Amino acid sequence: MLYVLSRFGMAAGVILGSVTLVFLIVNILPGDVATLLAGDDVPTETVNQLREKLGLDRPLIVQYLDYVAGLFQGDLGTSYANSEPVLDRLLDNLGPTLALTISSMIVAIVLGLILGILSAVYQNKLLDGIIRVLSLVGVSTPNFWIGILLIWIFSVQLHLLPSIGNGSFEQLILPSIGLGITGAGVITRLIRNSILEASNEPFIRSLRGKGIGHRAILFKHILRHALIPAVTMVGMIFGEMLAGSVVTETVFSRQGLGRLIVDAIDQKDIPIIQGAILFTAAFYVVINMLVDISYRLIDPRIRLNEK
Amino acid sequence: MKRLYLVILFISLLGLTACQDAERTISAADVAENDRYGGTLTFAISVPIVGDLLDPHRSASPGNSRIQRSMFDSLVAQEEDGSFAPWLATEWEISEDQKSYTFHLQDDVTFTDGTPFNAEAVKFNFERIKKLDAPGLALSFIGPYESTEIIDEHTVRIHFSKPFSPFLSNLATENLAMVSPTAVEERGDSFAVNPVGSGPFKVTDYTLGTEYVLERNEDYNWGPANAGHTGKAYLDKLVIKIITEDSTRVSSLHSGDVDAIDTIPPQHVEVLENDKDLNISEVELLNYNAAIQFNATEGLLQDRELREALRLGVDWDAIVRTVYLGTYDRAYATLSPSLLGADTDLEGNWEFNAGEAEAMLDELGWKKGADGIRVKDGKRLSLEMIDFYANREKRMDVMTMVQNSWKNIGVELNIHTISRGEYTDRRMAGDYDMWIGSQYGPDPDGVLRAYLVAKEGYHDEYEDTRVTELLDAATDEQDTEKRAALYQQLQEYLFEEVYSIPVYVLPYTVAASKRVYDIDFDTKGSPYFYDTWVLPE
Repeated sequence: MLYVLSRFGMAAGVILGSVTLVFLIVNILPGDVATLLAGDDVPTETVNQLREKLGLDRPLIVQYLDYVAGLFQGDLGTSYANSEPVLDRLLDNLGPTLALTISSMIVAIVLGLILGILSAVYQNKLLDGIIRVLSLVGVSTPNFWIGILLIWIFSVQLHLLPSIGNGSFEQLILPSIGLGITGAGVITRLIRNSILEASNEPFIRSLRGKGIGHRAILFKHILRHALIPAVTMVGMIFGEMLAGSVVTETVFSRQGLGRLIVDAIDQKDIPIIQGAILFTAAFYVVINMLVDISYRLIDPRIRLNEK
Repeated sequence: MKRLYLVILFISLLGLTACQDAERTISAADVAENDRYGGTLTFAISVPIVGDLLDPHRSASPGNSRIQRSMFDSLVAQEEDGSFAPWLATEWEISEDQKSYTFHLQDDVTFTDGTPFNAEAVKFNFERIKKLDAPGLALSFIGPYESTEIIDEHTVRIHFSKPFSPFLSNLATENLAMVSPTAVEERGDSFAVNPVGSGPFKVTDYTLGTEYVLERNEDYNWGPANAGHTGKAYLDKLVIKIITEDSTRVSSLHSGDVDAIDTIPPQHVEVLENDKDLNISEVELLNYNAAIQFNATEGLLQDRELREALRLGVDWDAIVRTVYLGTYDRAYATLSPSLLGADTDLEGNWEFNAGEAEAMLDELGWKKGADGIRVKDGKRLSLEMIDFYANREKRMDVMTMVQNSWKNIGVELNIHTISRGEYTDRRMAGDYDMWIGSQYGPDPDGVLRAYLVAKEGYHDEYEDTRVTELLDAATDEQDTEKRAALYQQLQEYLFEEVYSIPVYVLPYTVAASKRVYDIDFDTKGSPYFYDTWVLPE
């Protein structure tokens, strides 16, 4: 219980920390928001009025405390650019980004597991060679290029899948592959190595000595042992996918938090940037908490740490 | 028997060619006007809707106007030759002293929320622009506006404190289009994102940042007098998608996910041109041509001779041809060729001559140092350029080649790509040697002032009274030919002083499926979908 509580406390700390950090960064960056918003050819008086209206004439610490106080009441403020509530904007964009990251995660995990196991089982055979080359290509090719290539093959040449937009399941396929492929590469390599490593562990050798079948050893013992590093990696890959969604959403012209952040940074729309970072940080923290908890399911030994 | 085969062959060949011909020649004239109604056009634009603002009075960006033009009506429309056609105003008179404009309004116009359009509404619109706290381009477009006088229900008089010749051109843009007064009051802050106009289309659904769905205004019967038809628009529905990634935009056209796209990247033009299922149209954006703007009041570039040496030392022709693959024209003068006052006399009046450039620099006392960069009195000939657009319109590709050319004559150029905020700060402080930009607009006055007259709070790049004198004289001048002559004089002066180097003329391109007909463009180069129609698939 204490463990779970302290995990929650840490999570809240991480989120508040990232909000504070982003608040500082966007405010330290050069460029006056009111001047940017007012546009060209506008009298100074108008700019000052706008600054006052947005509350930007107050000291930074007051603006910060006001923002944090608002957070606790569920108020994320309104966009500087068009006065729309930030929360609505974020909620509109949350779904598509979640759908994209989760489905890419599924692509990464499923592909990674299958290929990783195959590669380990057929160690140093042709199949292993092919998979290792593919995973290397997957890891080292930039997301956006894979995206463009997928569009060219499946939308332009084969007319099988839509190239842009979001909403339907078909529109999710290409972006999830594009974004998931890097993660799949990483997981494939990791699973392969962990399986090979685990196969030489003394407890596996004694299982073999007992005459237990290959398949049973692989799926019941080796794989469970090999999963721990892979699960840790999943938490990290999730973060990378959130970051990668910025690019993928642009390439596939999808709605989402990533694209929202890019547009907001361009206009220095601070409430939107902060809100989006808050959401992203919250995601990341939640996923990593789930990862931590899942360790204890996979490996009972980790439960000992609780005491 | 043999003959029979021949006959069959002949007939089938005939049939084949007939088919092909039929496919190629469904011309607009073959489709009766009544058969043009219906259908959806999906159009992908290349730039975001800045601030998600559809309020025409608050926005200033080309992406925004590409949607707004079909949502809002203006009092007048501008023809290609620069003359004006009636729109919401049936006729107008300009007073003797050229300080007031009287407009007679159409009497059967309503905004899409049912609010009637009348003199009251016109007054409301102008007063609104005057007092908005983030007014975009609209405020500068009304210039020395003073007041609006309501003569009667459908007659209105606009007063200026001094003559303002760009007024009608500005009035024809969507920046000064009419919005519903009731909606402004009722919607408050949300009007900025979801405004109400009287145009042929209205937004019925949107996903901010990605897509806008517009449906036809069924009551519409007040299109501009220069449009191709009267009554409501042909299209049932117009879907505007925002696809900023170039290759995706082109792919989505090939795959049929969209019917038309804008801003075709130069490297794709040839492929799209050769695609028999597509049509490409191109208009020149009325522009202050994309130009390298020098800071002539601070730093090394105060020296006119040095600026001229920089201009001579680059093979601009070759650079424009290499970067844009022949799809953009090289610019010689400040104003783009179709804008009022464009100066064709300046064409071809300077030639690339590295030798002469080097000789000029030598004479100025800049001697080449050990690393090939020139030095004078212990100071390196090193220049700073600032930019925040990343590689918009491939400008950084151009600048990298310029950087190379200048290096060859012993001049160092450092290019700093910085955030828009930092950029604005440095522009205000005068902390730069040059920047590159282009400004579009319907009238030379606005675009020239945007770049040649320091904005309030900004560093003054030129401090040249001759420039402002000529600009003011042109603003006062009502005779179009005399005005044009003043602008030509100004451009020749700018050329002499080398305040900037024009680089290329920016076209606005649209590629559309062959099923799509009559996407029109307004004078600024924004697409206008009132006359647009599509053949069923």
